[in-house]
Amino acid sequence: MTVPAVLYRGLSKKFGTKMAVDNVTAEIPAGSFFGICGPNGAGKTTLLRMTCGLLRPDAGKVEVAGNDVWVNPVAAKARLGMVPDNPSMFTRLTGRELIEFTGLLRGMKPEMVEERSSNLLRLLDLEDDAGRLVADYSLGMAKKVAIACALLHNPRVLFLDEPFAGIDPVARQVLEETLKRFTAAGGTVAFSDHSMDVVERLCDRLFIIDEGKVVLAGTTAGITNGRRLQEVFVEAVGGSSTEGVDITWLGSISD
Amino acid sequence: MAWLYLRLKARLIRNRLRKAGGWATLAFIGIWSLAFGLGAILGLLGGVVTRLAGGEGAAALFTLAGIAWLVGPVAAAALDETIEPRRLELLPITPTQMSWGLLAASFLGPGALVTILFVLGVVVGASPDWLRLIPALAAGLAFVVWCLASARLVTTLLTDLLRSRAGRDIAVVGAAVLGGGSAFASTFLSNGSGDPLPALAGFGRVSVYLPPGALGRGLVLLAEGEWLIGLGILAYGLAAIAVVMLGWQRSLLRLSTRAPGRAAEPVAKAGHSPLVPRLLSRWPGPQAAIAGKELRYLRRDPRFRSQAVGLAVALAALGLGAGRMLFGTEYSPFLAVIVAWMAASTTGFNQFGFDDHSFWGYLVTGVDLRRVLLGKNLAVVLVGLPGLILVAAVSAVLVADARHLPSAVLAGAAVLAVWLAVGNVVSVLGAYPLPESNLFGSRNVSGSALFASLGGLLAAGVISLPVAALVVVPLLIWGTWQALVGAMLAVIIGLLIHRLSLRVAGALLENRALRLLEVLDRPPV
Repeated sequence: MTVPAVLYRGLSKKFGTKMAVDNVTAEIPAGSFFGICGPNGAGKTTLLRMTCGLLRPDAGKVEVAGNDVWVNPVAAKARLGMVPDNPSMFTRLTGRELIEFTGLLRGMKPEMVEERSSNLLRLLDLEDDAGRLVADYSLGMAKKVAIACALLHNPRVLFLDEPFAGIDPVARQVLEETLKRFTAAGGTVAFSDHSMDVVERLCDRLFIIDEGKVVLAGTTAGITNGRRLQEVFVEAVGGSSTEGVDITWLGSISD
Repeated sequence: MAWLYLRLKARLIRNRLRKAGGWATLAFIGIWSLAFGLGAILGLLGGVVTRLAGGEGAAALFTLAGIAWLVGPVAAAALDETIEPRRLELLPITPTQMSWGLLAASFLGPGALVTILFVLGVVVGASPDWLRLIPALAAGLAFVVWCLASARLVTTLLTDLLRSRAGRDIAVVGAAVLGGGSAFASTFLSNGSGDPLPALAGFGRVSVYLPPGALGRGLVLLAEGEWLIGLGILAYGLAAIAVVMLGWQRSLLRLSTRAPGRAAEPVAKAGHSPLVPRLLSRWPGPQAAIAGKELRYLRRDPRFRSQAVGLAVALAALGLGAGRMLFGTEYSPFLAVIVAWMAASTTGFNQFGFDDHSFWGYLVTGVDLRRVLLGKNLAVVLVGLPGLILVAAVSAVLVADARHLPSAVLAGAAVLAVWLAVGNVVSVLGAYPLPESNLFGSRNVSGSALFASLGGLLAAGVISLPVAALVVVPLLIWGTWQALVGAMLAVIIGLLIHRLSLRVAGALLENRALRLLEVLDRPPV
């Protein structure tokens, strides 16, 4: 039996009285391009942080490539890479220094770190800016360098929190191609995003999370069943309506 | 409009406190109490000086306060962003309305409270009776308005620069130099021949032509019943305020109609990577990589530079007494101990504060967190040890007596080890973020961090004492060789304490890593 890339069993997290993640039980198959969708505040970031060992769950367990993140964190973290939504990095290092630093932190050999850093800088079109401080990078460049840091140790699973938010189409294209190459080679990508078009185009599987609960899960084709993912999503999480609100004044000339 | 801005600022402060919770409320009360106390003391001093030195004294004091208002808000630009003019620029408000509104809101702040209390003291000091108090108060109020308006003008003019990383770098280093410089100045003044009043009056005679100085002089003249000249000077002060207000309104207009400064932010140069970090990156193991990263930060991060510059100047000022005692004697190599103390204090009791939001970068890699601590300590040793050896050697050469050179170097190393050891534990227990956007991070210093730092200072001092005694006692009672043996013993004990601290702090760090992440990732309050 194939070990799933990620396995959630009854994972829960509560902040005060709010259930951020509520008894999530799901699997992310190895080799998949997986979308984690949900409205703002649905619990996506909380779920990803618990998956990567950055937030302790209140209950349940999460495994990455067969390793329990909270029982065997070193083994689990060796198999995952993570890019947060707004990656805060060691910004007083240059792009190259940051990637190399991350590799050395992971205990990789210096020669291997140097070789792979050069490859990733070339792949992500960062070679010309490798000597600039990360503090001076644009958001797109910062996300690219964060992805390079996350890929350097060749993880089994790459987690990305809204990787395409706020970046230009050129950087987006580079990121998409890099991630596709990663999954084509057997890696797993799990990412959260608000753009249903992007999720529909890239992901072969997904789940929709709302108020901490998984409300829909399966293959993208199976979930959409010929409809647009946007429609399915709004239906699943309950879209709001402007009916019943008196806005007759809106757009009328008042002066 | 002014009332609206005052209410807006009060609400913003209230909501910020609600969000921040208990410690922030305590810190808020503490800051306002401190401001009140400082204002009361300055008011008392201002009153006494004015009574003794008259109009020239008041002119000098007002000029100094005016300078403080010009420099202070620039250096601490990120500290008051309660009402950002840029957030109001889409509203149909004219720059004139905005400037008067913002000016009114500026009265609601600890800086304004200090100034008002200080001015009240000067007014009372200058007025022989209650009747003369009222015209003097008018001049005092004009001075407060001058301070607030001129500070606002300067910060608005420099908004783009202060928002850029380069600008913040300049401001933070400038503030450290200024802070250190004032520490030096106060040390020298306190060592001076005595009466500062003649010097102050001399300064007052020169500064009386500047608007704040003129308002000080005018205030005293009005209090003394010299109506004609007093009112004339007050009119000059008011005209100067009008000019500042006009300038501020123009700068607000310019600010709202041009591209944000970010676009024009200069690209920083990383420079050539220094040799030691490059060599360390060839060394396998995370601790070498972390030491290399810390050394790069030391060169590139203004927070390190400001802390280093501020500490260097302040400690030099503090160490003047010790220096005077040691300089020129056979014991001068022991100045190395001060260097060791300075090196250990640079990252001090908050070693993860500079990492702030980036702390997750350690956790996600699964690196052994003890090695992170070791790497940070290694960086301090790589800077501190050559520094203390150099100071000890130069001092020995200057007095042409190298008898105590080895003992001094070893004593410095022992002190370094002990301070780093205590710093490790305190850094884990009392970490707080020092984000770049908030120059001094003072709003993020929770009460627990403050107590932890004080506790750390106390613990380091107490533990250092017996270690230092191992060198000092044999030196004073017996002689050079006995002191050397004592110093060797001190190093061994220092290293043992450091080893123990790595074990304790490492275990604490493993247990508290997520708590630290939460604390360091907390947005500025």
